[in-house]
Amino acid sequence: MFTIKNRNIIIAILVLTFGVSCHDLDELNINPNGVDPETADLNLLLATIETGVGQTVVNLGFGDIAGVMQHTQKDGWSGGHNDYDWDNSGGNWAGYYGILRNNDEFYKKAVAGELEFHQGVALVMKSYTFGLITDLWGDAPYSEALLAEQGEAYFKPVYDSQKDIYLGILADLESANTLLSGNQNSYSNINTSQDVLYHGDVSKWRKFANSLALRYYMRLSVKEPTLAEEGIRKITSDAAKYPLITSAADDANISYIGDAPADSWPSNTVFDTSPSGSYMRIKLCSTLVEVLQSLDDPRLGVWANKIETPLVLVPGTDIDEIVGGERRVSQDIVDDYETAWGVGVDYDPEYVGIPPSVFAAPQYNLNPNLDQGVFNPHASQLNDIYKNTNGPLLLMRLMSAAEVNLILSEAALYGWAPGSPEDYYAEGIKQSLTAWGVGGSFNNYITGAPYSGLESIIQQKWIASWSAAAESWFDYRRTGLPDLQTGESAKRQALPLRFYYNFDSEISLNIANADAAIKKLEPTAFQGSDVGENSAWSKSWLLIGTGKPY
Amino acid sequence: MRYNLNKSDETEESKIAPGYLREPNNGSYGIVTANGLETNMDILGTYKKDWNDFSVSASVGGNLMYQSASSISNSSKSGSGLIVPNVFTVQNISSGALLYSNYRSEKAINSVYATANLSWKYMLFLDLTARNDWSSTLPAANRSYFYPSASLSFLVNELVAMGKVDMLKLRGGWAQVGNDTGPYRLNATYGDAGQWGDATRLSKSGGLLAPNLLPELATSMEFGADLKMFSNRLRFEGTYYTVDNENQILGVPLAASTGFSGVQINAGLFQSKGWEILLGGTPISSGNWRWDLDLNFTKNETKIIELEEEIEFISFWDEARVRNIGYVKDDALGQDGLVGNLYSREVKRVEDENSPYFGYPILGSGLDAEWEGEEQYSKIGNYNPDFILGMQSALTFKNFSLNMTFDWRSGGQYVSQTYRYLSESVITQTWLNELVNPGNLGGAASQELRDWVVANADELLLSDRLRPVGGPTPEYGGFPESFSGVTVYDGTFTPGVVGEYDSDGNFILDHENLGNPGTTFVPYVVSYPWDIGRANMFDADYIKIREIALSYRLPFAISDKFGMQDVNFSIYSRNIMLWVKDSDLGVDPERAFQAESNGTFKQGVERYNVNPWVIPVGFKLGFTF
Repeated sequence: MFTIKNRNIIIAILVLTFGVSCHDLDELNINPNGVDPETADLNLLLATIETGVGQTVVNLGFGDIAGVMQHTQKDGWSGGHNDYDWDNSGGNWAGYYGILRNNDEFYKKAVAGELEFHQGVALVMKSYTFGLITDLWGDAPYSEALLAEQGEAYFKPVYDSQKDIYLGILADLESANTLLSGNQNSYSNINTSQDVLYHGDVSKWRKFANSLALRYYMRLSVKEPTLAEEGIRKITSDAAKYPLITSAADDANISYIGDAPADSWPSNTVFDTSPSGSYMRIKLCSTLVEVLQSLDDPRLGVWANKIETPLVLVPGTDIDEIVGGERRVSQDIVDDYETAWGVGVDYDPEYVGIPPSVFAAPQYNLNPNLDQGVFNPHASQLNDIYKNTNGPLLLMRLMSAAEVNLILSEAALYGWAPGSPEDYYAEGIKQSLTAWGVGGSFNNYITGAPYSGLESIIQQKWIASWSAAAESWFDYRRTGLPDLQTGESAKRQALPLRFYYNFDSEISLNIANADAAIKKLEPTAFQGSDVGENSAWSKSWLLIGTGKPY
Repeated sequence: MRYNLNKSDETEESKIAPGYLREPNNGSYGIVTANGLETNMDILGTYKKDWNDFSVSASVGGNLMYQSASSISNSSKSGSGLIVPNVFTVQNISSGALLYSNYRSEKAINSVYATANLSWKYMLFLDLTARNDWSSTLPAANRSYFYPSASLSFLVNELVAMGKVDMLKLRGGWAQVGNDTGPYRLNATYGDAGQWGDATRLSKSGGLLAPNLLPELATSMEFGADLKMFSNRLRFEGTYYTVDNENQILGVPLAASTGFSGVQINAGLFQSKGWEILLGGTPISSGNWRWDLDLNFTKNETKIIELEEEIEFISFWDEARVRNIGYVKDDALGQDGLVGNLYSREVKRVEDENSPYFGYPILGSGLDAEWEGEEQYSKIGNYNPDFILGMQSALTFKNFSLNMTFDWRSGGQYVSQTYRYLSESVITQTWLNELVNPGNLGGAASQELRDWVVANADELLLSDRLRPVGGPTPEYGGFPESFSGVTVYDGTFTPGVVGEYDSDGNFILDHENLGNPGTTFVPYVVSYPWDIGRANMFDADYIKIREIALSYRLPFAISDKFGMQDVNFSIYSRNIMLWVKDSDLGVDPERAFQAESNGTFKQGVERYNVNPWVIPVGFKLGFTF
């Protein structure tokens, strides 16, 4: 038995030890490692959203879509790039919806804080991202997307029709134009260093919003001509109310930093020194090279390196030697090569592109380096600037004055915009040349590349979309221009029209809604062995019934 | 009362010298320091009392558990490297290339508990426990959880004399165990997506957390009997158990279009059932000889009975074109609900029953004349065994004894990335052995070769495990191909057909790829079906001789002289033999798991988790004073 005295001591010890070591369980579970969403400044999300969109644009337009649109070809690991060897294990849109998750958070904070600049920016970035989603896939979750925090009712979002998504985008861009119509000084909490796209310049954001609206109205020009015309008339008839990106100084570009692979131009050779690395395996495509050469286009020299060793045909037999920087070959050597590989030899002394979708890309033009994806002395690599991690021309190009002027040219051609299509055409070219640092050659260039209707407009859009080729893919689907032909190694004998809905990240987790959307796609003759309508060669609403591009 | 403190400190450096291709800028450097601390403060009071046939022992206690962890990490960003080679310091990383972070976490559980052990006449025993925990990791409303247990055992032989029976015990028990989660699992903070020059990039987490998380609760029940007979020469222990795991906290994937990659849930109900049976005997016990033989048999099966609304499955891993997915049990949908199921895209085959090619693989066109996966995933296996049977044998003669341990695992499959990578690189004999040698039909496409392939359709076209025909050299049946510009005899072909379905579902043949003229031959080096999950899945059945030991015990009379109870000398060896049902690559199916960085394991798949087969031989000398 304890005595009273002992008991007191024990109680005192108990109180002391438990009192000291008892933790407040609520406080203990407050995460000290991250920023609390409740109190975080919304500007801290903005650079994440902008660089996310920018990297997506480059990944598409300097990646596989540059292959589809025959700007470039790869000579190693080329299935997706040259041959559209895609299926439903690719085409994952998780990255796109991830950008939208941040953007949605940014928008909610902007609304809560009554920050009109930020609301406008959020609507522009939302429109841009959903625009890409619906352009690339067709129907997609839109009105029920991004609501999973509200509970399981939104774990399987329904797919909105492609038309409704475009209409939603256009309505958002209209709101953005209004939200961004104030004086620069009338907005609060603008953080210039967090806005890596326009550094807080409200007027540029406003131009971007209207230029995007112009892009999507023109996207609908074949499927919904009345809607497109009305929208384009609305924008072009009131330049004060709807300012546009018409000068390259206002281009929607984001620069790279170059500190690490994640913030560097993707083909740099500073962080990827492999002899078959991302720079090495990309070659120019002959389709683009030949058009640029025929136009004597100064941009070719900005984008491509001249070949290291020109090929020269010499009389005689069994001659294959390098003399004075040239490789001299005799006809029998050429004949053997052509028989073995089914491709011809290109004696151009300056620029040689690889033809689209050929089996012999790694061996092209008598390449003596037979490994895939390595340097080829007889084919044009990218210009040396693309070996850098960053630079004045290495940009994420979201939208350009060249594109806007060329859209206006097309609109004027249809009589939907005031002015002459020739003038806008010339202005579009001028802005593109300026953007690529060769504005001085405009006068010479335009004489050799005169306006000749829609074909010339789309051709110039296609050229100007270098390293942002997704937009020209969408033009191709709408107009069938440029009239690109595919090659023998292509998965199907036509250019693809869309991305597959991804199985693992979407279809398997949202079966009923995804299936309903898939059933609405219209298969084409190039469906091949694809099961069901979920094919890269199926048409979404935008193309069904248009007869375009095939 | 007791106070217990555990502390750990760890520093980990990684240094890569110049010359590594993936770190082209003077190599790389990284340093991580991590600290961990756990303190436990316990207080326990015990009470004991005997009355006649009853005896009681009861305890009441409390525990305060506190954990904290912290780490600091500094390294060069992947590929960014060092300013000066071979100087491994943080300041030798340029500021833009420095990846730096720290992390700290805390957690506490406060508990009170009580136990009681009651017995009557050494015949009937009742053990009771009860515990309540308060965990910091759960929301205030759900933080407190109570879990009791009770078990009862009855020694029948104490009640009635049972002749040859030495002991018969019947037992049953019911127990609950509550469990919390890790720290900071209720509300997400913004993550850091990395600096972009001067701009900060924060990102909202893609994993959706559940602010109203409940504690996990496992309720188990077991019934068993223990029997010893004939002076312990026959021994038996049998247990049947069930475990219901409710509210298990796990992450399940969400459709990407939700904007989130997954959500944390309290999963409805996982149910496990199993048997554990131990049967032992001493068939020989006479004079100097004694032989003990013990068998133990275990069998377990876990099913997912319920997850959450709108969630049909959990995705555990996705490797080597095989996914480990757990679907909720649903007889209508044909889902057995078993944990451990493996799914993959089966080879696409002609499904038109009226086609002469019914069941043949449909190949890709052009040079991609290879098997293609179906759109949908099908169940192809399960990584759990049907049962495991262990056997221990101990043979004693005078002072010598020979002990052996065997294990037999039956059923289940595993996925081997080791096999897949080595076969894809064609550096293993196993893939060479897998290829079908066409014998003297090799060397060229021909109608005879085609007829031979069709005659062997069961093996070459219709079986689950498909293999290309051909080989690396003419001796192995290699066909001519000229991929590299030079014709070499290392071609293989994938038996199948190329074609499409018409709108009525009829298979329209484009051409055969059965060895007939027109067949596409591809080099041996690209013959491995990289995208077909089944190609790297194997049966996990094995029989092992785990250990053999021969011992000699010094007679007590001698050891006693040295003042020792027991002196024992033995020679032993382990891993004597492994017999596997499938794959001669030498992967031990027991090692078919992969450790993850977060401390968890992927079950049923291995990637280079292969050890050289070591058969140690050892000597052991034991003394007991």
